[in-house]
Amino acid sequence: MKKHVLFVIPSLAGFIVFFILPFLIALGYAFVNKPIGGAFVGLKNFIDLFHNKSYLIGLRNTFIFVGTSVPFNILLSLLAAMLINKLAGKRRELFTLVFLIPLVIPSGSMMFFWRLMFSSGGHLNGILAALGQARVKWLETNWVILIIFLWKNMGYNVVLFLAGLNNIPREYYEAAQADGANALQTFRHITAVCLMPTFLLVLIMSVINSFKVFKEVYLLMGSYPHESVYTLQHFMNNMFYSLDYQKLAAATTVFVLIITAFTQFLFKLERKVSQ
Amino acid sequence: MKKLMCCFCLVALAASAAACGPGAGGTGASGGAGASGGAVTAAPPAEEGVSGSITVSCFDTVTYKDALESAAQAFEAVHPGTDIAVETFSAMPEIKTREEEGRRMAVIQVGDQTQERADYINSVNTALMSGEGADILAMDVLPYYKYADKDQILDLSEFMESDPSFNAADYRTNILDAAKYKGKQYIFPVNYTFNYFAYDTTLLNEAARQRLDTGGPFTHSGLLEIGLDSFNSVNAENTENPIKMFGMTDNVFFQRLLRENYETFINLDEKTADFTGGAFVEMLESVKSYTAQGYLGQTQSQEEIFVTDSMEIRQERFFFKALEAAQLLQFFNNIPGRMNMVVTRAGGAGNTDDDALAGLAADADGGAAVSFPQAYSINANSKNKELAWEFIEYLASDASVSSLSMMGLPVNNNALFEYAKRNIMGTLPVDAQFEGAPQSGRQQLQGEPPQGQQLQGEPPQGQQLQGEPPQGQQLQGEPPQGQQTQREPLQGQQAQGELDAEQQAVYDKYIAVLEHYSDGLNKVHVADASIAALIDAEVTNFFSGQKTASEVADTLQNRISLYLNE
Repeated sequence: MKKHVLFVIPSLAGFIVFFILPFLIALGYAFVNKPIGGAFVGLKNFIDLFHNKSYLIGLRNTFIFVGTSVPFNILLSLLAAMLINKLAGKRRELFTLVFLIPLVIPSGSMMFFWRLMFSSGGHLNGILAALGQARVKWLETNWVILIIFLWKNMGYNVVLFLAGLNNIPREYYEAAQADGANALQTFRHITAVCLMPTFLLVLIMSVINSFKVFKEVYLLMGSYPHESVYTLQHFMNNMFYSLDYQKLAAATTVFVLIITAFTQFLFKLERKVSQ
Repeated sequence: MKKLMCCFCLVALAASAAACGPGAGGTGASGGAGASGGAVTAAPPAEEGVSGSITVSCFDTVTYKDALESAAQAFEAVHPGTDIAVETFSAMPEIKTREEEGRRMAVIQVGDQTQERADYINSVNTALMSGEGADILAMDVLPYYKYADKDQILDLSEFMESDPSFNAADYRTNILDAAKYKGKQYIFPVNYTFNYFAYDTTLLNEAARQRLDTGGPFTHSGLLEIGLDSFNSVNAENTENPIKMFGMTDNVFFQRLLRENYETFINLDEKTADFTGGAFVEMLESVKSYTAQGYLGQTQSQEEIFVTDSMEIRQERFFFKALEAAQLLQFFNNIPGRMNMVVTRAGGAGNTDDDALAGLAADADGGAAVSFPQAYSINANSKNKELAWEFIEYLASDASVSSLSMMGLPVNNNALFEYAKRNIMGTLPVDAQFEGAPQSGRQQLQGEPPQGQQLQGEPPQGQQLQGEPPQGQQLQGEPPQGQQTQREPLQGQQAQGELDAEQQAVYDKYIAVLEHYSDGLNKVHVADASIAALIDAEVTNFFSGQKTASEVADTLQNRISLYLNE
């Protein structure tokens, strides 16, 4: 056996034991009628799943959220990173720190603040009332989740973009300036092109992080929020508490398949861009 | 604020208080209370073939741990080769004591257990789904109907039918039938409780009393209608601070109405909800208007009740009181030294001097609900199902004192008679824990989270806060002639002394009404904890003025539909 294979074995074993095996066991649950001593039921659990109204609502909301939050996150992070990149010295450090702070603040400790802001009798509605406007049910809209997601995740992307921006040789910009390129042309032909690998990494991380927003939504709105903010993770979490492991396993399988297909697409895109 | 606080208060007179009265008469708490462990009567012969070990899992530590462990020891003694392990989950509460106006009060404070309950359910779910878990599951907080739907617990009917030592006639069959879920006996209740109403005879007019004397059952809204004329005439000169119809908050009253009309809004079988049809909004608005008109309210608002508060609560008058089974004895018991004085802030507070029984509390469909403080199921994964069944049968049998140690009325007929007898004598196992108190009386304060609190116990000696109900009142709740003679209650049960003539008279009236009410019970509210939590949160928003009724209805329709559609 070659030496490099020996080095791979420990991590491969860990990956198989802690990731592949549990997934295969869960996959098995998706084809039986009950976890212990269950009988094989073919695709029944999957058919039931796609007839489940709550699941379909969660699936739709998850796609909508990923489709809106990821572009917002990437664009705002890139903008912030480019602005910070123009700063120098302590100001640059300070603004980078500002974006990084939310990453280290536990989600639970922020819930009180979010609740104060967005609840029916919260500060935002107080301001609206003072302005003579009608109250808004913030906790029943996607905007609150989007704001929390951006607050929590922008810092991570800003750091990645800053690293990418620093790797672009300064000579490129000097050459562009000498050739008389304007800011938009410089961005389009130098910054955007050179940042493409970073951009794809940020895209993948943003998509993954967008699925993690459940923790904040759960803490803020509970297991059964308004249907407009009900996500796939709500469904799966609730299936666990309802002892419906078959439905949970089927939903997990579908979820994994979607994520796998999406990331494969992104990796292919990255390879093409790199070439 | 969602903090739940249950207070069990032990109130004692100071040793220096004028300790007159017949404390040594054998009827006080010191009068030879039954031991909290061991069997009441001779245990049945050991079952052949029952051996091995099982585990019983229960959330509650405060009330049931000792009872279960005592029963386990007694069971092991008569079934050599068996081992019953008892697991409880909730943390023991903090106990504080304080002196107030010469009285010592011990407060057992239980904090918000929402997370603790969720953790317990989570751990049980995980164990069940991995093919493990305790052999016997106490259904004190667990959603048994979900376990039943998933075949995680067994239908006990098969054990009941195949066990020659089990005789269904020894138990209240209507209670066992009510406990059935989808026609199957997934849970076996050891004890039960129910709600009933009482009314103040001095506040209600003749017409109202005549309607109440029919014996019921009654609904909360029905009583409001019956008492309206009396309320208006009594409070004609007292519009500032009228005597309330019910001593409960708007939120508590709304929860009662909701329970009475649950099927109108939620159909668990068909998984549908109807909160936007108008009836729910109307109910919310009605309750708000009841408060505005002075129908509802309570004097005490703080979560923690002090001794002086309890005295104030006892003096307050209300037209109606919503009471629980444990409070029934007060309508018959005027025996010094043992007054089952109960004050509750969840609808039963107030002066009871002139109270009379009205009837059972019923739902809008006429059904009267029973609830189970403690019921047990057998885990479908259990490796020793026979032993598990034997232990459940033992817990519910009259051979075990456990059915008397737990809160609620024993579902076993003989144990119920023994319970009634000992309740009158003040020698229930629960009384034993008060023996150390430096006086003969006791009071117990307990909460009904999150809305109210309940003060229960007996007044100190010489402090007769309530007298015998006026002549004729006691007859109102009694069953028709003949019902009292169906069973011979006390045969073979005389384990802890005899009733004297006066006590026997109380016993006869008490047990007759107890049986009459128990016979009328025919349904169980399958309370879904998730739905209840959603409703509670939104209704609180309404009564605090944060949301309108229609906003609450829309939100509930949306969220509960989501839940039901899962």
